[in-house]
Amino acid sequence: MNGFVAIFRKEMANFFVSPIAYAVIGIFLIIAGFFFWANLSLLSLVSLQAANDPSIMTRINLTDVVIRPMVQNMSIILLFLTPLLTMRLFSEEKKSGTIELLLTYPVNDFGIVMGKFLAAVTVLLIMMGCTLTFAIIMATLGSFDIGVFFSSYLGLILMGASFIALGAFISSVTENQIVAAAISFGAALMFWIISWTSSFTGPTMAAIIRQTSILERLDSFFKGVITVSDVTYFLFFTAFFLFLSFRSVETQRWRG
Amino acid sequence: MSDFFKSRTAKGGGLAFGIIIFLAIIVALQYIAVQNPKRWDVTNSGSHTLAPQSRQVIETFKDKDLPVEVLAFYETKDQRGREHTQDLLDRYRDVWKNFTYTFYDPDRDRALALQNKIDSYPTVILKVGPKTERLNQLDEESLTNALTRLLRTEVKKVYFLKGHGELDPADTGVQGFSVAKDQIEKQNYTTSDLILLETPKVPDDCAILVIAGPKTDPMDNEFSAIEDYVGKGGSLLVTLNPFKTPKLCEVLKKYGFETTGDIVVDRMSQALGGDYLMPVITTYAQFPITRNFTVASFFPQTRSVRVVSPNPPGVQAIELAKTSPVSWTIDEQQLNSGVADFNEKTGKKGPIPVMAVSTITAKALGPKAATDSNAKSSDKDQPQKSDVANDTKTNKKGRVVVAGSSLFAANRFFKLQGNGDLFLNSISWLAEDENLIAIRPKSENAQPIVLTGNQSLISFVIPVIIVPLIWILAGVAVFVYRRKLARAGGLD
Repeated sequence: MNGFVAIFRKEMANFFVSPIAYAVIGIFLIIAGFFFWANLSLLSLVSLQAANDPSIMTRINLTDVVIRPMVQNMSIILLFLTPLLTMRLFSEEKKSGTIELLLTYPVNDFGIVMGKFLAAVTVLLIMMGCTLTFAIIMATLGSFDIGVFFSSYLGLILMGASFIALGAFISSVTENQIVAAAISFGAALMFWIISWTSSFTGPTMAAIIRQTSILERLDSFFKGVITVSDVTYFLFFTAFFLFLSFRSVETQRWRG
Repeated sequence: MSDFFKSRTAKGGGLAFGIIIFLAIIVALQYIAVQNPKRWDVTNSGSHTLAPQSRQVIETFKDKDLPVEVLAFYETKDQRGREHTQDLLDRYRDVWKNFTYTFYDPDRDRALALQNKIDSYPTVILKVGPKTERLNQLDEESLTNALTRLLRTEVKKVYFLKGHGELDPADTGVQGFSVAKDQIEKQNYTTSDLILLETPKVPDDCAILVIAGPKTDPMDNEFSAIEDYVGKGGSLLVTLNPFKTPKLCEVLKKYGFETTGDIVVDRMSQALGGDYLMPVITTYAQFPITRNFTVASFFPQTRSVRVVSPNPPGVQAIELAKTSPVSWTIDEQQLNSGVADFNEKTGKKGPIPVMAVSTITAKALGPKAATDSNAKSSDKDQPQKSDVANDTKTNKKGRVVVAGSSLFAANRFFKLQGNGDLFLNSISWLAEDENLIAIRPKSENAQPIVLTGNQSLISFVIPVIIVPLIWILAGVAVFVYRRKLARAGGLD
């Protein structure tokens, strides 16, 4: 991890001296905040209707009406926005030619990849951390299932980290930022929707496809169930694309 | 040779090989993780954990060392349903390792499907030794009940008295009783209507007689049949309507229940989304029916049901459920006049008991003894509350549950909060199936929230405007500052 801290600091500085981090975080917070407010208003409306018909009162609570739909929407927003965080990680350096300079520094390849990856994950965490205002507002209104909230956020962060690793790899193989963002989004979307095809295939293939789908994995987290295989899926997904990124950077050395 | 290892081809090959090896390792590790499922239900309500009732049932199989085999016939395309079922079956397997299951596609495994007479999908077959149970809808409740059915040796019968304007078990409308009937049948009982005007007595196979909200009193000979049935150790569930059936209330007095011509008004219920005539019940006595009961229930249009003090001889009665302290009773005249304020001359202040239960010593209350039930009783005969719960089967006792509201178990309100549980727990206790009594699987509790104007404004302004604006303004400030620096030549 030689030079990791230096790369991490440089990347964080890159994020916050350019408008990228501010724009991504701002857009994410506006959309997530809107969904939060909309779901909360829906809860208020349904609660009013329940005053006239108590039989619809079951499942009227912050967890089912606000938290679950909100985190589902947040996962889709992250699907769109994480490529914006990762598109310039390596592409920009390749385009400007600074990658060669970087490779001459006393920094190993693993340190470069991890520094860039963790800087993007830190931006993700800052982004998610800002949405904790939702929890504070909900806590003032009534009690909500903190377990479901925690597991949903864990799922979102693991998913976000996986997309960042995927995006980092795509960025490392192209010098065009737009291409990197487009391919990252497309690839993430494929992992998202791949389970839709499982019903057209045989049982073995269907099982493999379902094991590969991100959407299937998130469902447990959003229900409030943390499963070891779901956590390891995201960890392995991240590890694999970080490994590919590492190898991709390594090839820069001998490809010249 | 050394030139070859330095060549791009060799390095590319090594790279590809390394990637394949790495991928193979993580796929293998993930396969192990999938094969050894370990999970944590972090919800506050434990909604993805087996309910105590289900755990109790599956523990019985474990104690008796009875393996359970499950054949689940699901179409391959029904992945959602299949995963939901698998998730549920895993919870049972976590408790009893010999609870095994296999999924089959009925279209691909035609021979097995035909052998098991599968004609609709999905179908789940439970096998315990030679006994089988089949289910078409799989949830925890139906699965646990099917397992209970596999443990049972007899099927108990519940009769619904008809002919006096009772709630109709065949009526699927909001005022009907079909949901309660269906739920009783899901609890492994059979149900049947009973017209006592046509038969001289309550059938011998009657496990529970239900009189659900009669609007008129039964005839004298019907009362005789009912009293004879209870006197011989039968079980009776009565749900009443306010201001109706005075004779029935007089008979219930012999079993320790005192009702008056009143209706309960509750201010608290409106705060929870009901109206003044739908009291909310949050206080329950410690009794098998209300064991572990933490949810509220609603009793629409209920009359009070108190316990006769002192209890008649041979009768042990306790008040089971009470309304809130901010409730009171009014009489029919007040109700009709529309003035529902508390009047100490005609009403009583809350908490008002609206549900009570009693056990009757069989010999103490035969038909003859019942007639003399108003006879004096000594303090020595008064039972402790725990005595009621400690009823033993060696000395057969009649069991009676009386609720002041018939609507609490009607279709419209059956699934409202704890109503269904209270009703089904009563059925289980009356059938002497205490092992079935537990809170059924539940998700989150209801918590309606109506936002005030300020709350609505704050929940919009802070998350949608203020917090994002801070970031956007910071971005603009950084951009402007950098631009200034660039113009001044401070940046390359």
